[in-house]
Amino acid sequence: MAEIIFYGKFQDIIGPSLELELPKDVASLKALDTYLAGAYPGFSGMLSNARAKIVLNDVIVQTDMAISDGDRIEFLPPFSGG
Amino acid sequence: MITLSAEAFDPYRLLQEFAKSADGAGAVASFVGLVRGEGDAAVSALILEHHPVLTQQAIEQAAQKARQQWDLLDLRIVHRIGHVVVGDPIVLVATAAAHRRAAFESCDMLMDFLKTDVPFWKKELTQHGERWVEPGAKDHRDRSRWG
Repeated sequence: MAEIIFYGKFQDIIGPSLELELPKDVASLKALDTYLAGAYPGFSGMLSNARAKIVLNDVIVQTDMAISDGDRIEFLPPFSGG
Repeated sequence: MITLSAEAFDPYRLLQEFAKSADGAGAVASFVGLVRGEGDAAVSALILEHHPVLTQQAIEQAAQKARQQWDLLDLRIVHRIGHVVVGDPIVLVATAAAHRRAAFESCDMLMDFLKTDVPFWKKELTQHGERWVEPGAKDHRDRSRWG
């Protein structure tokens, strides 16, 4: 089971978090991105949006990485402070 | 000092305290951001979301960058989180230095970073519903001035 957390506009599309048994073919952030985009219309292209961030186990990751059950993955849309 | 505040704050009182405590300063620069209510959609309030860990960290990194780039005596950042109504302050940035250029420029840089590099998410509540706001091309151009 992976814990997936969403912020900002992604919460409106998917909700604040998901506990997800990762399907066998979802073994990377890119695959998870594609899987979520298929399951939730409106959620797409996280990895192609340079201003969105993915956090894997408390570290912001810049490239695709392997994931497995037990991981904590956070999807952060582009920031908007001030 | 860096503060994320879930409550309304008085930036002018904080600025006065900051200026008084900045020993040796010849210059204090400040910026106060307010929730703007005018416009075509009549915004009534903002919801500011943040990340429980990364938001504070990102502001600390921006402050560290400012301290490396300019000779600052002190800096103060307060940023609201939660529900902020029109007219209320969202953010205070204040910097103190011996001379004005360092104070001005570091304050400018910190605001640009807060706009685009710190995990905040801003939702406007308007007469016509809610909408998420993202920085525009100009915000990113402003940010790119600082490397």
